[in-house]
Amino acid sequence: MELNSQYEHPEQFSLCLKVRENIHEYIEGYLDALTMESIRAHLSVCYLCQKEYNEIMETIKLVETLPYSEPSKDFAPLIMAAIESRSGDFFQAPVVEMETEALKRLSAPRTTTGQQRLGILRVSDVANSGVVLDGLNIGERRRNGLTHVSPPGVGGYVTQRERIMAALALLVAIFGLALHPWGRAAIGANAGAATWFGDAASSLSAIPGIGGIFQFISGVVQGAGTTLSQLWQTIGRVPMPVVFFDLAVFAAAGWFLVNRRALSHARS
Amino acid sequence: MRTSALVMEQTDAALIRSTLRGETASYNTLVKRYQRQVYNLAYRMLGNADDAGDLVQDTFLRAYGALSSFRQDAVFLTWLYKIASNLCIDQMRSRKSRGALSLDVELEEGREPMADRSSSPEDTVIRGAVSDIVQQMVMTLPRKYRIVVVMRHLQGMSIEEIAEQLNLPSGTVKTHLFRAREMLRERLQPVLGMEADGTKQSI
Repeated sequence: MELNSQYEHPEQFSLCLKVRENIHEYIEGYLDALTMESIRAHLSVCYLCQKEYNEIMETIKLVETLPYSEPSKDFAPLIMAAIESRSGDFFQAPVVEMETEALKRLSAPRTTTGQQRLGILRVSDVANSGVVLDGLNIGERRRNGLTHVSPPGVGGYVTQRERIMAALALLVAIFGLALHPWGRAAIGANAGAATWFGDAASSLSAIPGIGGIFQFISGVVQGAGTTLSQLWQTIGRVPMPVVFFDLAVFAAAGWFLVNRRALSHARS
Repeated sequence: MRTSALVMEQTDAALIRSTLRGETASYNTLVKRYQRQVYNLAYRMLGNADDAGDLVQDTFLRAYGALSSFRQDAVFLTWLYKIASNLCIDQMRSRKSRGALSLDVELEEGREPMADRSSSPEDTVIRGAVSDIVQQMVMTLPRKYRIVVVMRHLQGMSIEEIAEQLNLPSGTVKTHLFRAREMLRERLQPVLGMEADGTKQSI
């Protein structure tokens, strides 16, 4: 009925339509000065458009003046307890977090909640989320070789115990694979596996581009009659003190990476 | 903000610095200072006290871990809001993906605001709780609309800021915001009328 009465003034009606179409843009101030002014002028004379405008403004006001919803309890003790329980240093290089996170995820029972599973994000996730990168430059991290930025927070930091476990796991992996017969079997350091490996390499040598690499491997493994176990035995002749010295150097470098940020904070 | 009325013994920046030096008590002060604001945001987005509480804890834990990347010239609360709203969005998304019902309808139309006629808007208004209705109506908005409304009208972010944070074109953010307002206006009709009558009477 209202529509019918408006059809009697088609110009007026089309103007109303235009105003209604742009009313939200008008409220946000997104229109050019001329359109803003013409809408303002129309609103001051058109009762129906003004009613619409007022309703929207009132809706916005109702939303913006929603009262505070008060939390039923103080979260500070819970939060501080969670922080204390993970009291390894929070502020550390992400590389170590990545490794221990990966270990934790492999060993953890699959009952984690969605929030816990957020422990590791890809660089792109973090960049998209815009959270963690506030104030730190991902390009710079990439240049430093720290391509994996783990968000600190729940599951994102490492306790001392987890760090030791990670180091132990690494040692077990190295010595287990190289020294134990099962380990050598697993990585192809016996004659049977070497044959299989050589076959696989020669069948892959047809791949353009990287085929040459497989051709070479296949040649080394099969052509010269070398087995991987012989290669391993050669490597294995390194005296143990040298191995321990190398491990110590790696450990020192690792410790420095982990505590680098804490050290720089202590200095500043 | 109500906190600004309090006398601040120590500035946020000072507390953050001492937290980074290892004094966790300083962080405790920060949590106490801002947990209400973060809770409020979480409650508006998630509409549920338990989820909101969990989110407050997650937000402060994340913020603690990322504290060294916090720019000293930024506003701490804004930064917390950013973390919290991203966590809210993550949570909404994960709920969406494991939702039992087909959510297509809900995503487009929102939930049916009034399943139960016994608690019609009018009744609630008579009981004097307009804000309850408004909160309820905000919660019945489709998620993608609700996020934008909360960010724009409760956090006061600009459309460009929202677009950047949600990684959406600002045109999309605008569309969502405007549709959300139209939905709210439509669903709040009874309340709007009451309000107008009320003001007329009081004048």
